[in-house]
Amino acid sequence: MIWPPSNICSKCLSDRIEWVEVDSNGKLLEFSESLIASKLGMFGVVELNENIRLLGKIICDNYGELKKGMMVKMVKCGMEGDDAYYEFQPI
Amino acid sequence: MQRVAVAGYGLTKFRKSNDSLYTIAAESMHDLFNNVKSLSQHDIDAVLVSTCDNAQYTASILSEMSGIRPKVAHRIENMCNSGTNAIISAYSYIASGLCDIAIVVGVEKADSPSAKLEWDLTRGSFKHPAHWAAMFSKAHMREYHTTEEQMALVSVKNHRNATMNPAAYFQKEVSVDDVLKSKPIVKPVKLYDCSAPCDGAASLLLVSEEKIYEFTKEPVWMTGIGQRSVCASFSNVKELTRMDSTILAARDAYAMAKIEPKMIDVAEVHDAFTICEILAYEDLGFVEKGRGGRFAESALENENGSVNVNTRGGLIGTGHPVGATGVAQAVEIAMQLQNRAGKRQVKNCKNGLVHNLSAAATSATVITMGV
Repeated sequence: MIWPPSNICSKCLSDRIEWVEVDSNGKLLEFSESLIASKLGMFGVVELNENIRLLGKIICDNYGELKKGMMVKMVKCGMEGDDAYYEFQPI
Repeated sequence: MQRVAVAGYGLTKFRKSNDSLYTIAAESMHDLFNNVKSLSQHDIDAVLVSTCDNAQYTASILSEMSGIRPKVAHRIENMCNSGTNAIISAYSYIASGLCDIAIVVGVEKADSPSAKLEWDLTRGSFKHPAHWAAMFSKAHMREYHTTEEQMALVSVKNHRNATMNPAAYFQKEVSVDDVLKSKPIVKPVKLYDCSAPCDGAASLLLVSEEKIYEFTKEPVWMTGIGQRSVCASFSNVKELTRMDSTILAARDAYAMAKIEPKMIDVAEVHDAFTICEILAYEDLGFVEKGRGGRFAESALENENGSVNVNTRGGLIGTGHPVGATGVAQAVEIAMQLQNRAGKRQVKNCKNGLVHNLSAAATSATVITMGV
């Protein structure tokens, strides 16, 4: 599995690459609150099951319930201009 | 391999200005030539420029501006550790025998596009470095009970030290209370936990062992070098409480210099954020893992007589013109080892260390220097 995306494999250097869909469930490794104007809200480091880590927004009704190690699910992802974005919710 | 030493240096006041990149860089080169009277333009074999600016052909332009026609002229960029990367390149040219005399010029403007790693999709829309700093801070607080007050003490010390450094951008002390009440950016990181971009330049003259005494009676020897790039993406930062690139780079530098961490008298470490200095205490081997916060408590007055860290004010007190930082750190260590650091002089320095890192500590450089 190659992440971030590349046209060559970092292990074997092959260029025979294809896109695969990964499980959208992951573990919340750490989290905090951003107060930067365009990023307001909770965010965290989420590790997906294929050892892919992402910094994404965490959306939930009660942020007091967030805990390190809890399982979350990606509910949204895409591109806004040049920036990717990822949004997660607790499972 | 030839030994290599620092023969001289130049520095500008770190500031915000309308001056161009070239004006600021040339100012530091002018200062260097003023400080090393026996140096003339035709002596110089290499001009290496460290900057993250979008400008082109910077090394050749600065060579022309200063009347130098070097064999080697090029630019080095590696985000925040560009400066030490450039120093190591210069060291390598001299140690290999390709050159005898090299000038390294680090320069940056405050609005340089240098701090965010745009390539890394992993960081999503959270590319501002304060986000990774917050993750490191939270993890260290969680695992080792490091406190916001301990992180604040790093800022207090570095702001205080900066008031003794005429080149520093910030010239005002802050209290722990000031830091804790400063504007929150990404919890727990607040404004005074962060370094700030600014304009600035630093120049360093490196010379071979064969020719060093033509330029100085007090050479500062480059004794150890270590570099490591463990990854570039945040996805591959596997530990949030440890800077693996720093650990590995320091190991190589200490081994080359044949010294141990406890022998370092003075160190300039990369406090892009206060948590980075706390991690640096641990990962450079000054204290055991997890005790960086406790070390910050004693570092303010150096109660234990241990290594003096960031005597010029670090990045937080001096400002962080990205391409200039690593070179300015080396200038400070050279000044300390030559007993020229004025009010902030550490007594009886024999060994110094420069630590410079980039992009959530995915790469690092450690250089040891000695007299």
